[in-house]
Amino acid sequence: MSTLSLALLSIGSILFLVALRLPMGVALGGVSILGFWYLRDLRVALSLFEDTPFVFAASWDLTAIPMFLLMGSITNNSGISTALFRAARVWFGGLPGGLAVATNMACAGFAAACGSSVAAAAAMARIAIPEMLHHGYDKALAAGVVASAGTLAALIPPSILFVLYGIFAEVSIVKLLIAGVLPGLLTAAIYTIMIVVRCKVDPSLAPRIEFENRELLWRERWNSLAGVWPLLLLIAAIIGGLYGGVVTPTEAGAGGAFTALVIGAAQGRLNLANILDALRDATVTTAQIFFVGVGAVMYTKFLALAGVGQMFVEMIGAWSLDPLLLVVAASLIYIILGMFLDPLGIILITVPIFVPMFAALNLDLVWLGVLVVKYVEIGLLTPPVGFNVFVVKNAVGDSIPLESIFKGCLWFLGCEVIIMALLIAFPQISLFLPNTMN
Amino acid sequence: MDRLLRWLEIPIHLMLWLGLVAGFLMMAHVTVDVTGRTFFSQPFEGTTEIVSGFYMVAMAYLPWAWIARNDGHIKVDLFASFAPQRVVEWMEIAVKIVTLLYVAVFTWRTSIRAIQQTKLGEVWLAGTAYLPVWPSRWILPIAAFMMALYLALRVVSDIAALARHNGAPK
Repeated sequence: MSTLSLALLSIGSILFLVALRLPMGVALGGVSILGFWYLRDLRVALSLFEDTPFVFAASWDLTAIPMFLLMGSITNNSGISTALFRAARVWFGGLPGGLAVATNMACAGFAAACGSSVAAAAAMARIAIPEMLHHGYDKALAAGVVASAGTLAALIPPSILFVLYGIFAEVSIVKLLIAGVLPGLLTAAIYTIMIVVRCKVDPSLAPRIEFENRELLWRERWNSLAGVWPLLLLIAAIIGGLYGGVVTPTEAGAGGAFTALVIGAAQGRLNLANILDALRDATVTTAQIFFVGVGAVMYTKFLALAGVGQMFVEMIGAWSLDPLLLVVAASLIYIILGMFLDPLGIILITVPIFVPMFAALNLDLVWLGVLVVKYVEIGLLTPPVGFNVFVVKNAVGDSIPLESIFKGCLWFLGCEVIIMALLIAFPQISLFLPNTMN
Repeated sequence: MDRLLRWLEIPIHLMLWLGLVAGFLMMAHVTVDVTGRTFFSQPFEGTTEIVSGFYMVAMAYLPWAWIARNDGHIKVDLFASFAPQRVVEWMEIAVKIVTLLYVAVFTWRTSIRAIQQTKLGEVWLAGTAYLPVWPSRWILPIAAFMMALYLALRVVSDIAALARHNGAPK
């Protein structure tokens, strides 16, 4: 069998098995074992299990994942999302579509403490959507903004996906995390512009909230910061610490989790049950990621043994491909995969294939990381399987139909077209900050 | 069968709790180390090795049986939307059997390795001392064995339930 058909067959089998509801980890690992058996023999295939899982887990780089998860779940359980939304509401509520803008901003703030989009969307849906519906907001807009702005969590550090991409692509995780900052802020800004313009043009989407007493409003604004300043300080410390190279991602996550715990306890918002719940969330999610991750490492080894990376590099050399064409082709593949697979699965399947191709064309792998994370996050909003849409649907129950949420996301997907075009046309947006690091 | 599954709850929960403890220790240990290093120029020797060699392995693998119990694997749900109910039920069982096979092989091969590393007395150099990491090797086969055991019992119990359901008048 040629290397190309072997690669295609393996990807096809994995996607087929996943469609039959086999866990992604088993599909990846099982196909890899069969692949090794085919290329070498059964003994070699089975020996894959002997060292790979332990060596994979016993890694300092990966410890950033549980610590980021823990920091996110502790912050979430300490009710900071409510305080963030309240603060954003009094600061941005007066704009056209003010509550939607506030939701977007609160998501951006929460993203800086939480590394998982699904968790961010779930947290914000329960707080922001009822408030928007109460003020007569359009249902599609209310649900769409939460699902879409939830994706900021994977872009603004901390981010689980950047850690995983960094490990599989062998790129500096710190640089990736820092590279996500500006694209994350750009996304939040473009979302805001779209919301304000839309609500200005069609005020029926979002009835204006009047703050009558200006003086009272300013007092409320300053008061609202009392609940959120520790978080803002924590965020600044983490991003600053990573940027300055003072702490590693794991240390930022562990210190962040610990500080969030102390702040939450001091503000009386955390009790033992909340803390245990947060720990359980982080531990179980870590184990889930590793169940998939072990399979993915074996798959990466299989692709390497089959010479797939090398083959693609040679193919690209022979085609003398325009880099832009590769980016466009990769974009299409990510959009299609994003319709069906979850972010983790997409990253783990595609990174071992795309990274050598991008490297062969001397394209920056940090930039590729930002594009990949953006694309898999867009996949969270696209039907038929849009995980963030399902999360929001789960939180709102029967009050908003699924179609409305997908419809609400369409406007944000429209923004994503602009954002992706900007990120592809101007790699500096992603690379400016990491390139100024030592 | 169901009674066996109920008994299994105890070790499954115990392992989850050990995972939580590892998570807490990881946070505490790293925080103490980074505080000591930054403010008192006094790092904790061997933090990196202890955290990655023990806490991380425990968090990554100990909750596996718990995940199987809660069916919390990340999976895609397209198939179920257009297949008949009966087919979906049998597919679920087939999926569990394949997962069981995978986890069983995982248990078998990681335990071989754990035995080898125990005999060798595997250690890592941590700062100026040697850290014995061979005990951590055992976390993998133990966690995977518990998951395999749970899946095996579930397969039997699901098939029995489905057979009962088949025989019962509608």
